[in-house]
Amino acid sequence: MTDIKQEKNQENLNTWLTERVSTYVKRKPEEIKMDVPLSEYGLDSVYALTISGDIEDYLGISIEPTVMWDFPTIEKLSKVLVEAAN
Amino acid sequence: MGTYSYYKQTEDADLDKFIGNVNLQDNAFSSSLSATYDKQDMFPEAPCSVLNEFGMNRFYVPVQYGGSLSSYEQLIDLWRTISRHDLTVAIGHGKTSLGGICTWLAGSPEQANTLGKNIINGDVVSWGLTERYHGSDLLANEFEARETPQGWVINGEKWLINNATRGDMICVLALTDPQLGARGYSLFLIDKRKLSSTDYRLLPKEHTYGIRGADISGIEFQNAVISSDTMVGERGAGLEIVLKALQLTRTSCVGLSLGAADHAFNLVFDFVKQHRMYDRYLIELPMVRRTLAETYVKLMIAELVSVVSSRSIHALTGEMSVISAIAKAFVPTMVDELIAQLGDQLGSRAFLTEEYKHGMFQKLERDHRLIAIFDGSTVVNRNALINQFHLLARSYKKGNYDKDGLAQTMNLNDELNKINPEKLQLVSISGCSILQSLPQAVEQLRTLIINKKLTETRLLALAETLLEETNALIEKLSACVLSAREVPQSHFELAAQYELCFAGAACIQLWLHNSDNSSGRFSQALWMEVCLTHLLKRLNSEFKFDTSIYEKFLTSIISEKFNSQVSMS
Amino acid sequence: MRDENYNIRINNLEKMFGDPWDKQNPIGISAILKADEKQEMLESGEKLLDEYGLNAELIPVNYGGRLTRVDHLIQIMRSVYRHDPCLGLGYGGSSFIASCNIWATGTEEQCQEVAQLMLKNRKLACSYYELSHGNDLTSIEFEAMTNGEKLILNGSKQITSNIQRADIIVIYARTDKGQGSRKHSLILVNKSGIPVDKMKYLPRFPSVGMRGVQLGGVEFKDCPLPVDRILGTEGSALETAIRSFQITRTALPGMFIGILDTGLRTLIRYAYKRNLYNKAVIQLPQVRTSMVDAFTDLLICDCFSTVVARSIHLLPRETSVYAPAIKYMVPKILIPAMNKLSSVLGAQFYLRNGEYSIFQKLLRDLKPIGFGHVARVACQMTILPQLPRLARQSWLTDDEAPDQIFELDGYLPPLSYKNLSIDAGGRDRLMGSLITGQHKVSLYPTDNLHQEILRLINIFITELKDLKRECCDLKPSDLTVMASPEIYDLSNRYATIIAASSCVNIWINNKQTDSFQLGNPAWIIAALIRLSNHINNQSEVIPEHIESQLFNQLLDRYNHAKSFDLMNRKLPGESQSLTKMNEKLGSL
Repeated sequence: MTDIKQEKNQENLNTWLTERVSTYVKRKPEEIKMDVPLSEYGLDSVYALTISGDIEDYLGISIEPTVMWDFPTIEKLSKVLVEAAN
Repeated sequence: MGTYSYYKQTEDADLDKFIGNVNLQDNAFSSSLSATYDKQDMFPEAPCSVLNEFGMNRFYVPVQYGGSLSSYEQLIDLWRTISRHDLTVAIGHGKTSLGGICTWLAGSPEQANTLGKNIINGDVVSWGLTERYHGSDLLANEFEARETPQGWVINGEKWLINNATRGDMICVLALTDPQLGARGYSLFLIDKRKLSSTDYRLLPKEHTYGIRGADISGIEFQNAVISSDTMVGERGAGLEIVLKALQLTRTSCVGLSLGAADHAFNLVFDFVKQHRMYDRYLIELPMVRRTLAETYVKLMIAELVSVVSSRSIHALTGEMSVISAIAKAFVPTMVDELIAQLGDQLGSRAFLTEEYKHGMFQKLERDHRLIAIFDGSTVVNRNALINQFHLLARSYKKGNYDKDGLAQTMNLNDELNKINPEKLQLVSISGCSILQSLPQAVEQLRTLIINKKLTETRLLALAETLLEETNALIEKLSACVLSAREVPQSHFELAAQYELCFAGAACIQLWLHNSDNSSGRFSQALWMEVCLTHLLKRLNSEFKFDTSIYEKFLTSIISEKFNSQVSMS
Repeated sequence: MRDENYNIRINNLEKMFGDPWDKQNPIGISAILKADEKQEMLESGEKLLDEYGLNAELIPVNYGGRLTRVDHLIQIMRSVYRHDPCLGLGYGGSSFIASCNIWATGTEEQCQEVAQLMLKNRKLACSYYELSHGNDLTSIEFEAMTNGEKLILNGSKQITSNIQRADIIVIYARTDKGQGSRKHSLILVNKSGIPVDKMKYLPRFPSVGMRGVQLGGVEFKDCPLPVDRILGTEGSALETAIRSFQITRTALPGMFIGILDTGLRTLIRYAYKRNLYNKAVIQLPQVRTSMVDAFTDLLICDCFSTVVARSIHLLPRETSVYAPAIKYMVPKILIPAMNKLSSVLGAQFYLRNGEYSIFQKLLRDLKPIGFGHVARVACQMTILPQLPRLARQSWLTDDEAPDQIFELDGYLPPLSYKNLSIDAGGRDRLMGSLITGQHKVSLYPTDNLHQEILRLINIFITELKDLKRECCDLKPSDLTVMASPEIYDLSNRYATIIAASSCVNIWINNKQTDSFQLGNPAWIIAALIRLSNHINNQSEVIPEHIESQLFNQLLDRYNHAKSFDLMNRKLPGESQSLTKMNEKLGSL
């Protein structure tokens, strides 16, 4: 996987994650910042586990549901997910 | 009255036998003594001593740590036995099991072995999760532990904790890193005996609506220092461990509900057999007979959900986040309902505290109400299910399920595998195999009929209707717009319906796997038919059926009860 | 009759009770709970009622009391129940039940005797039942046989409230051997005439709810009484009881509605103060739904209770079937409503000395409404035999009740016990009012709300058509205690339709008056939806836009300390600062 492709994947994933989060917390995607902990948008820890199922489906990989606790911003989450997918 | 549990305990675990005849005045489990403890808000010491003599504590400790706990199915059945006599005793004594779970899941071998020894020696262990003003929202907890060179300094209050006062030890969830969100919590197993009297103070007994004799109190720590080896599991893993432990404890509660249901049914059954009104025995009146039939169906449905849930802990471990939520929401709610329906038959005898059987009915009704409230209320558990709606819908549509896990769950004569705690997950990635297997179960029924191995085409019709309802429900789950905390009532209704479909699928699978075994109760087609009928009636108010099935069902129960050789209270 | 100073009296009573949530109030919640823990009557409450002269509300005007109308009596007693149901039942309940029989059938001298005692704040007890016979009055064994010139009392009665405190006991006794409806008489036992060795009290029967109420029993052995102690004619006990039951079976459930009022108020208080997941609990959607459902249920019960109370005056014969219908229906609604609220309160409900502990007492105190006085099965059995005739002669006709019945606080003719009957005579005008009600609504402007109301009314009319068919098919052999559950259920379906008719017509006849806040049709839509769920076993949900209107109305009442029933009465208590509340709620 070349760096450029990885970057593009990262971009796609960021967009997708942002859109997912925005649906769950009922805000516009523009309002979701990449480096703000998701709990501040109302996605608390237990509710966040719900998204892990969506992620698994979208990426076709299996992840620990608690990955969202350890990487609580879109930026951090997205990076670790891309690594896991490769 | 006959024994109810389908589960046959081994000799050394036959608690029923050990407790003996509770009609005898001097039996520690007698109703009169139970009523006295309740009236005076006193802890039921005598029956708990009997449980200690029996060695109940060994069932709170897994085999690998020196105890006898190898099967949750067995543990739940033991709790059912205790609860059949007195819920306060079951809850007061059984708390130690909850107190130990985090250590079995995440403690070091040394911690687990030590705790195992202590519990078998009779130590009482409490579990301190909740705090005043925070209720079930563990993330709002403020109880803290600060790291220092001497160890951890703990401060804060845990309140509304069962056995906080009587307990020798307490396992607490504490905030260790406030800035880490969900990873900011850790567990500590604190031995109060190792602390000085200034380290903590006990909070007063809370007087409760039911389980009046239980020790529901609290504990406040004031700059108490505990050594680092009291931490259970990794730093920051506290919440995760607790959520996994709750999957086990919430499922175990079903034993408490079933015992209460048995007790309630016994009391009313005995009454209507001997009481005359309008020139007849009450049990002759069709209205009364219908009540008995309906409540017994509800009890059976609660029981079958309990059986599969407890066995799933071993065989479908990864799905417990879903199964425990279903069990904990469904069973106590169903049992509250059947208790109320039975109570109507007793009239004033369910209201007076010294009249019929020492007022046992009103006590068990008050005691049982707690089960739907504590340890994750019905709302909390349904919420957990709601959060997994999309996952469950997708998994159902994919059509996969864990065949081996399902088989082990449903084959009641099969030994259960040792639980692998590593398999516990916070979210059920494979969804819910029991419900996902429903299409296959319907196919199997169809094949049995075609091959003429099953003459009751009614069963297939019921199963097919259940499948239709389930398919429709799954579409609704897919279409739900989920929300963090603004969950509308309609979603809770969908969760309740999911529970009903689960129960139906479990019912069919139990029958398919056990119909050859003529001695078990899940082997009888009539019982499967009446359970499915009842479930479908609840899923769809327009569902039509022949009500004579209730009378057939009641007749078979009565003959079972009168023919049963084991006599209880 | 118009009862001119009724409003003054009830406001006075409320003022005397004060704000129960005020911690300084000597008859506030903490005093009430203390008495409950001790299983005693609330002493300060009893003194208050002595001072107010509650007994006078139970005595007809011509015997020196203030009783003119059953709907007013319910309102006054509901105030008491709203504070402490145990006080209501224990102070006034037994006297009410006993005295109904006396006003119905007593001689002038007997009535005066009883009235005089009651006006001195003395109590009556009413011993109908025996534990071994439940509600089956024809099996009563306690004897009062005539021996030449005297009645000889023999036997025991159990579970009678206030039996030790009462000066007079009305006893349902057998005066003739054998089977039949004329074998029993009501005996007026004035304790002052009893030789001490002929009567002994049984030990108290403690109970899980209404704990302060002294439930006791009495045993008589060869106790002589003058023959003139029989109330009414010999052998008339069953008939008298059936008549007076119509008043008591209507009034008691109406009083118990006060329990749901306080229960809901307690929940709102909790929901405002408590936070969960960073929000006030009151902002959670399912909490609001529970509150609105409970509010709607309360209004349904009040509509039904008010209409039947007024029909005692205006449709006395039909009350023979309406009263058991309400005694059946109101518990069926109130008990699940309180249970639902308890699940929202959660752990807080389970504590006996927490901030919201009044709730758990209310839950326990509510219990007798189901089985107490006359059990629900007995009510169903009273309704059932009348249904075939009502179905054939009256249903789906437009033989309607006079509008007066539905006018809240409107004029009522005097209460006449004589006009009460054991049989409706084939007329069922509340059913007729359902048909005429539908017709009236169909003439209203056709907007969405009115269309919705029509749709809902039609659910009940369709059900009535089915019910009529089934009831016309009933045979006498179907109508015994051995009836199938499906047949018993006919009574349930009947009661639900009558309740719907009550609600619809209360709405039609009161929506133009501002005083009760009933103009906005949100409540009637919600009420009909919830009632229709009883018919078809569904759980149709109140639509969001209706729910939010009702929620706002409910909060408004809470914030202004108004009662949650139809009367929307101002209660003592601080109006909450609206700004503070709105701040707390953010955007609602």
